[in-house]
Amino acid sequence: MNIAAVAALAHLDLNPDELARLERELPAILEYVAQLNQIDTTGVEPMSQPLLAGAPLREDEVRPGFSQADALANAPRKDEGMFQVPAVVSRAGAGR
Amino acid sequence: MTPSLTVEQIRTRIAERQTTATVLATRSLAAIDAGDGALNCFLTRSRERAFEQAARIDAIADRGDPLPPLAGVPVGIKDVLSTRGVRTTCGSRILSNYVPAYDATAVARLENAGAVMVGKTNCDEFAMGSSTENSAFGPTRNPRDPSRVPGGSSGGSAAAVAAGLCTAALGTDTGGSIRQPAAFCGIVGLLPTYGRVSRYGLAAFASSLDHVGPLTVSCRDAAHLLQALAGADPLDATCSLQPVPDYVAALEGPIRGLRIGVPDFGKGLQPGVAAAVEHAIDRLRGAGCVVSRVSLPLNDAGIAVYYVLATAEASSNLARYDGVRYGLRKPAATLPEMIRQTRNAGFGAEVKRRVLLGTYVLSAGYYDAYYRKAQQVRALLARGFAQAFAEVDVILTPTTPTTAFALGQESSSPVERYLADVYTVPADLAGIPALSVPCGQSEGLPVGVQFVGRPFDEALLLRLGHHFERLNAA
Repeated sequence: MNIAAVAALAHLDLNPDELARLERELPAILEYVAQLNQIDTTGVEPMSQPLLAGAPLREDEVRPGFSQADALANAPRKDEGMFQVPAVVSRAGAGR
Repeated sequence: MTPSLTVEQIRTRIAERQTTATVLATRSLAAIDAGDGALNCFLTRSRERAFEQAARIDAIADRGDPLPPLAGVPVGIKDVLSTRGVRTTCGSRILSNYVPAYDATAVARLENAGAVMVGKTNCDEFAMGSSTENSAFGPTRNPRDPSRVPGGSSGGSAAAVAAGLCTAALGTDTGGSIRQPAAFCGIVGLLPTYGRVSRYGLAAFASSLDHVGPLTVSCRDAAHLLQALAGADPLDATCSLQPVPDYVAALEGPIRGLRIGVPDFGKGLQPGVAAAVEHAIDRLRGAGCVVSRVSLPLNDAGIAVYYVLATAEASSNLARYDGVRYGLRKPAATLPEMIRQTRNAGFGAEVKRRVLLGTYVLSAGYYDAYYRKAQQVRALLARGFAQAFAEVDVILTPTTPTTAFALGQESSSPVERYLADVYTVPADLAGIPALSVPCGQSEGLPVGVQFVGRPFDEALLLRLGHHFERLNAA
């Protein structure tokens, strides 16, 4: 298991200590989970969530939502009513 | 402090003008000021909001109008539930300054029923843990023995109620996080049926497993809280339309003839816990319940299923914490770098472990082997419960294999830690209700017995728990 590659998928930037610990722990967890392979599940429909007696639908109608000020109130950086983030593309072309 | 007052006593005393909601809120907040330094149950106190709500209740009493059912009841709210204008951290550095713009439905319903929120309670980060030691804001201690953990992840809620800092609290339960801390602290904890209580405003951990429920001193108080919490919510499409019965009225029904199934408890059960649970079974048999063996062979696989599904769902749900719209941000030159550094600085070790595991089991080439397989075993496990409930009305187990352990003494092996959830995880997987009720002590520490029921049969569990409390006190 390539922990660094999985960490990149999860947008986590692990330090060497964290990497070393997880390289021990995660395979042990997966080894435990492997017991599931001994259970015959042929033809069993996967259960994505507990049975719901008909998930309710509602009318699609306009209702009051958050104001722009509410939505931006927790923004670490904002500018002119928008969330502000570092440059995604640069003039040089490379985003990273 | 107000530890001895029940929900009904509080309402009666306010109605009869023996006390006021403001006095009770003042006492609760004073008890928190005096006692919480040592316990660390509360991360945030909502003094202003508590007194505004208490004044509303007192105005109703002044007019002589009928009081709502939870009038003046001081409650703590687990800090994974959104509270408008009151900081909500999820026990995480990544949300240490987050102030929601809206209330969770469960919180709004408690307040609409008259409850007075006094503060937000400590928990394991994003509800991931069993000891409340995974909080970024320090551990909570068990009021029954402060050298020990209160359990988790709703440890702050359980400890606050057990210490009498508030009368009741809200917790959340994904793998046992209401029932296990209730058992460790010697109080009552209820996992409602999946879809019984709205999750709007709950910071999602594992959406197919997350539940909101009450922690209380008694089953009667739990019935009052569930009455206020249960029912459809247009803001939560996973919340059921099933009608809500009268839980309080159902408490006094008979338990004679009730069929209780007892499965094999397996290995690893502490002798003192086993003895307390066997004693509970004897008392219920003595009260006319019909006890029989029941087989739930797939429950042993529950932990493995849980740690695939819960981590997979967590890896998806926690993708939203990116430093863009709220919470912590670590400045960096580029957006991807900012996101990585923010998440690395903001998440603790257990959250990273689970996000990584979940990302792995969902990644290309592994989805069928892990995620789909776990969902299939989950279906079989749920089927096993359904078959058992053809023969019995309630299934009884210990809530936990051990009593509360000492701070810092949880196993260093994640698998060993996860195995302690063996009795609680299956009900979350099946989406069925379960109640933990105190059933005595082992070496001076509380033990909990768990009653598991059919979907939407909370009324029966609460009735059984209510009768059991009286049998146990006799």
